[in-house]
Amino acid sequence: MALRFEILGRFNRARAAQLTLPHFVCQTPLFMPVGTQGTIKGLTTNQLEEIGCQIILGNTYHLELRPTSELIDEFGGLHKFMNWPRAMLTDSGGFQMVSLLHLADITEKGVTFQSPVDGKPMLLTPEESIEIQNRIGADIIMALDDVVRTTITGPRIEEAMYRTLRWIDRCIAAHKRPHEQNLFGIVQGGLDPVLRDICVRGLVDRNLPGYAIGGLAGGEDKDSFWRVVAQCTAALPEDKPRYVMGVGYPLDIVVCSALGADMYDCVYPTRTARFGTALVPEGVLKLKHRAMADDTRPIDPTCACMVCKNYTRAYIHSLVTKDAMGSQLLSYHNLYYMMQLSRNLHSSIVQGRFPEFVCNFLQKMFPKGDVPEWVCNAMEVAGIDISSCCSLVPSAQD
Amino acid sequence: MDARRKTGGAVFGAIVGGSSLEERQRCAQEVARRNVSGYWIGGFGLGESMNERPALLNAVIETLPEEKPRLICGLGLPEEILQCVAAGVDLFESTYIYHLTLGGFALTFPLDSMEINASNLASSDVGSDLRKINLRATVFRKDTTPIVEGCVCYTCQNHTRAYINHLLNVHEMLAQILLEIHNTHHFLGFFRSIREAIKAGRFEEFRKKFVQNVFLQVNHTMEVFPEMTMGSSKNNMKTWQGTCP
Repeated sequence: MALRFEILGRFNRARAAQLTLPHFVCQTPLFMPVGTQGTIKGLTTNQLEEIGCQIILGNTYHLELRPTSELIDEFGGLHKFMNWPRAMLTDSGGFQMVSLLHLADITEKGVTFQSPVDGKPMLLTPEESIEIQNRIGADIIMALDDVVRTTITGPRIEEAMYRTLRWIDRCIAAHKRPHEQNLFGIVQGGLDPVLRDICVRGLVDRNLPGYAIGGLAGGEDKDSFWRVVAQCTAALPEDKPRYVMGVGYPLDIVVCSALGADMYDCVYPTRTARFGTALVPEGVLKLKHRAMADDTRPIDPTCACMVCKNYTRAYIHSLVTKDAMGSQLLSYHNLYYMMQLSRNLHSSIVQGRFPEFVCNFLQKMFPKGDVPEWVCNAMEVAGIDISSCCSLVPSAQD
Repeated sequence: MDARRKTGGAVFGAIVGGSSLEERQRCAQEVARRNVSGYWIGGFGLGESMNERPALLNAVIETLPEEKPRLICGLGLPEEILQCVAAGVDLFESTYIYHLTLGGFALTFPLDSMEINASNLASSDVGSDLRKINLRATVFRKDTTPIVEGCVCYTCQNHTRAYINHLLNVHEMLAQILLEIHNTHHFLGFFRSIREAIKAGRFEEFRKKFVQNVFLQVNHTMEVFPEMTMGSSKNNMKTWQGTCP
């Protein structure tokens, strides 16, 4: 174990904590930007520190491909290679393989795939995934899991869940740096509460430093999504961090935090920036839209980031419609927005005003009171009264 | 000129004339008669050689008043800058840095030519020269040094050649951002060195050392910069009339 997790405040299931990692002391709930290939697209590490990033994600699959984990190891780890002084998390590489490679296949041994470099058959085993992550040197490393999309049904889900449990033991055995890197297990089981429960109990038995809820954020309906998160957060130990992988939209993060999750990652804020979309309290703002061409306001008048303090919508519109580089300012703003959201979640819980924060958040996003039903249901389970911002009566919904 | 009165701001007169000494002179004379704030000298950097240029430059500049700034567009190579400064140009507009960055190049030439001597010249790598390095080259894959040792730009203070090599290989836009920061810093530093050399009265020596040691071999210098080997100074260049070998 190479972390400390100290809860500083609660509201029902929601908690605000201090997560002490080898490279940085973090405050949760927190959002982790994804720096796939050893960089967050277009932003310098200095800018990431400026906006308050605490942990960034690196993708094992991409980094092993280029520049290879051996080279990164020679440089003293990814922190030194990219000069990022704060915390880092690497995923296992399994998800990318399955989603990126056409002929990837999962067997008991590991993930078999065709090398994208020369087409040779290759195999990523739990042992190898951990070895690669040991070389990259992140504060948190993820177990190789058998991840199945929630849109799939049938016996494959059960097979994947049990395999994930067998693989966690192999990951634990292969982990050479348990005092510097925290191995998180990943709860699988699709949308089946029975399978999820078995998986949670199996992972908790292994007494890992932290747990992730995997297999979500892949196209399942929102109602199933929040129920799985709620079930898992209820069953996972109180005193360890809970990481919902692949989440996501600001609304989803607020709901999951209300239900007791602590950590999130997603490519959404930076990816949507590259399409010219900014995150704002009301939802999104599409900077490519013609109406932006002569709008002299900042993206978000309430935002304190460098972009909103210095540039107009019109200027950014002129950039994003021409060049990918124009999206660099939007990436900055969007990540600032996510960091600010993280800070607000943490401080509102610590200061005992979490329900007010949630209501305020929902009011700005749904000024007509049309909060989606799944959010209302989730908040009810979370014990947060949002009736002041919902103008729709539940029974009127179909 | 009338339009300027409505918007305010300085107006520079444009001087063209292609490769004709007479047209260049005529254009310069006409523009000099107008009440402009400075001169924009165009039509260079379009394929004329380094040896053709001094005569055309001089034909323009000796006709222009001393006290107004001269801006030249389209020339950006360090030796071209030095050539134009020697002729009396003050301002430069160029996409040189932009193209370097896009190509994955970083400027490395020593900024103070007075400090160059045989012992501190970097040994040239295959494929690069003393002017710049191409960070895509595999030779930089494990290079833990900054682009230029001692450079105080953000890129050199924070990142290694290996990291930029990696970013270029994986087509990440941070590569261009870091390169542009360094290249801009370095190029502006070059101009600072030029200003200091002029103020200290050693510009000719500065230029000669640069061209000989950094950009060209010695014999090549004589072919391309005949005016330099004839003991150049601004006054001498006025009398140079012939074509080059």
